[in-house]
Amino acid sequence: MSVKVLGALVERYGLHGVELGEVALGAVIKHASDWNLAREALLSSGLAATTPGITTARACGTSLDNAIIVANKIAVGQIEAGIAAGSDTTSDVPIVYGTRLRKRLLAINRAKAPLDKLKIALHRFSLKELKPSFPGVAEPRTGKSMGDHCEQMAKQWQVGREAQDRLALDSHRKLAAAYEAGFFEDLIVPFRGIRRDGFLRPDSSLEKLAALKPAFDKTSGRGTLTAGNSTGLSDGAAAVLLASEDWAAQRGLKVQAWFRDAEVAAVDFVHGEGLLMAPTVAVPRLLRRNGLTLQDFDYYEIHEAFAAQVLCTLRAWESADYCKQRLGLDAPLGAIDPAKLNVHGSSLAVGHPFAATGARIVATLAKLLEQKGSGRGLISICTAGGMGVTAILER
Amino acid sequence: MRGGEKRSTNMLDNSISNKSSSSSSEVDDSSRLSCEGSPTMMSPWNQTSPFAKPPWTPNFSENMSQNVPQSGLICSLVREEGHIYSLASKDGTLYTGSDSKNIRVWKNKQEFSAFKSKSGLVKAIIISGDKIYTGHQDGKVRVWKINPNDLSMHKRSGTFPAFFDIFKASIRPKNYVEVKRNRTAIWIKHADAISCLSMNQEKGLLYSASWDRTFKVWRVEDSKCLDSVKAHEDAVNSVVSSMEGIVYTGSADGTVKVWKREQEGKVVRHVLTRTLLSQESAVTALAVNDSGSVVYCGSSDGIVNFWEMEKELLSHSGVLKGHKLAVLCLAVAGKLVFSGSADKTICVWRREGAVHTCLSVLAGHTGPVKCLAVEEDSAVEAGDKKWVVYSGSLDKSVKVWKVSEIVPDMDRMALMQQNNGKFDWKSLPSAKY
Repeated sequence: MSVKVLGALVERYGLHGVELGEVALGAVIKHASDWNLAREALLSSGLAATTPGITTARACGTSLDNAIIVANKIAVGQIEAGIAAGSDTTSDVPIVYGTRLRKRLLAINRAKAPLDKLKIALHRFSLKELKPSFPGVAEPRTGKSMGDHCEQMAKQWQVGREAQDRLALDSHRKLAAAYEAGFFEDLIVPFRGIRRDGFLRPDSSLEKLAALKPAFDKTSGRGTLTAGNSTGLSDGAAAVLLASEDWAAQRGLKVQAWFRDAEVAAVDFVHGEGLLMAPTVAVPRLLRRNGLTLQDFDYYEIHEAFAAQVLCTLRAWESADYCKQRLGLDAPLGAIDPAKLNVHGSSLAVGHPFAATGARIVATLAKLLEQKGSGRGLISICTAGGMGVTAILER
Repeated sequence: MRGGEKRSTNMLDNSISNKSSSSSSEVDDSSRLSCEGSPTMMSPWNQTSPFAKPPWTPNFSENMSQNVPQSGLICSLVREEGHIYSLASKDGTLYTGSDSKNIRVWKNKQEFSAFKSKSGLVKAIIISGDKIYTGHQDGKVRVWKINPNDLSMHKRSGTFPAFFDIFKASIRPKNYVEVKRNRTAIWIKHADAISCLSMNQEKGLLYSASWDRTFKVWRVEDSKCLDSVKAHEDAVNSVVSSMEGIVYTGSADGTVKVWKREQEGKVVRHVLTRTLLSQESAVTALAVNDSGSVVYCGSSDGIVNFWEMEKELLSHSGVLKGHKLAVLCLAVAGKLVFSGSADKTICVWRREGAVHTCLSVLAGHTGPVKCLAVEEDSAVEAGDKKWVVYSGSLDKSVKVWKVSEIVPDMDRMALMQQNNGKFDWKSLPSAKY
């Protein structure tokens, strides 16, 4: 998928044999052999073999972070153009052996004599060692999954089930409408016969969503996060081409939007802060640095890790207490216009191939701004590990 | 007709610019807006648009107004229930389908009734006699019968395919076809959303196009699937059944194909006779005039291609360029062609022989125009054929427009434009031959 999506950019913009300054591509769930994923993918994409590639990872914010990396390099004049991308295949995760068998195999490999190898192989061998180790999505330090953490956030901010389901339904309906309007016509590249997001449920309803059982808090009777209002883990890749204005002009390429600024923040989720609340910290910094208010945007693209996460974020910005105590602001940031939020749906309907989500959002927002002709959009992505990556695009 | 085109579109610019200025002035012509004037006609779900006021009043003198056709927005029907995906109208009754479960019925610009479908997202609606056929996201066609004693009641009378037919077909392995990678299903069932329906009244056949790349043919009498054609390499977005067994299909793979229906005994099959168009941009909509002599095709690049029948052969006759974004729907009525677009506008073209002129651009929707339905206006003045146009949009509203076939007196329009100081020849839709 990484090769496919890079290749699509190469085809679209005539980049065959062109040397770019950087290809920053990441994946969250990848095999050890994919340590050099970016470079390997670009070598198969049609770009010049002299294009460097960097393989990165910051969980769900990976490809937005890659956009920041490339944009910053362009802004300081290090490079003229680059690609920011991300790819994840959550349906085909690497499954590894446990520690005991791994150490045994490595020791066998180090041994020289065949008899020594045999001795190591059989020494206190147990069939239990053959049990594979499956990757999980739990935070290593808390042992809780993102869903568990978000369930806590929902209770703390009193975000109810119905509000979450409604947001999820809106996401599906908006995405379906966007497909019907042909918005994704030139954004999506077919891959192995798949031309549309498979998570989309255009005929979903509040009744269907209400029938789902809690997925994380199954015991207290107060669980509100379900499979319907939580993003699904999916397979996908996304890529965006960034360039200086001169480079674009030389090639006759129309600029869709300008990458204005970005900010990354982290919260101490181990000691009580909401795991997915970091964007609430990053956005005020971004606004202050750019002399903007939260209402100065035409579009808000907030990654829907969970419907509750989005709603908690919005409530935090509206809360005078939170803004004062946590963000050090004199007044709350205020409310956003719901009509400007995720206007073509987001991760709840699209699905969430971790590392690809950022680039997907950048591409969607850039096209929205291009269609509108002018305007400003805010991107906000929460990530595992208590981080948040945010950015502003303008036209 | 280039000058004519420009002047006619100039009227549009004026109507658009006047629309933005008239929003602050109240509409008080109650005879023009019957749905607004009478309290008994008021419905909480009707909203009268400030755009309904004819744009050229009050600047027109009485003499001038007699020569200006009355075209424009009549009213908006807003339910805030969901994006409007489908429309059908007959004898002043309008059916609307959205991404909610409700199919709403409107009469005299008011909500008349509604009926619920188990599966939401109604993507296509056809009215045939006392039956309504709805095509759904789940790949099924549902049939509704109007209660002759109570026209507000609709009862589901069937589904295509019928349960018994599904059961019978499921038993035999040879009835399974590959629908997706590593996935098979029985051939009589659509494996993806239905995008369009078309009825051949004469033969009692219903055509359904689907995103599963096929179109299927149903005999409405007994809901039997007579044929399933793997028509395209990508989603089939539109199907139109025309005269003499000809069927047109348009697809996201950028092609328009022509099929001929052949019947050998009980067996019905459709044979590809020609590919009219093959292009990069997806074909999103098709329309054919009543006589089957002109075929229109709308694409995701905003262009409408058209072909005319010459000596029993369709030949490409030109393009209509009126939209900045994808054309999502087309309708043909009399001499007029309507194209609805993702750019939120509807272009109205008039065909006179081989020439198309843009009469106006209907603006008012705040979202992509997804579907159109057109009916002849019953209150017709002599020499002025008028059409009632219903436009459904992803902004969750339906707008009702009245459009006249008469080309307005452009000199008077130009004079009015100049008086208003709003005059722009340049940004005009055009027809290219």
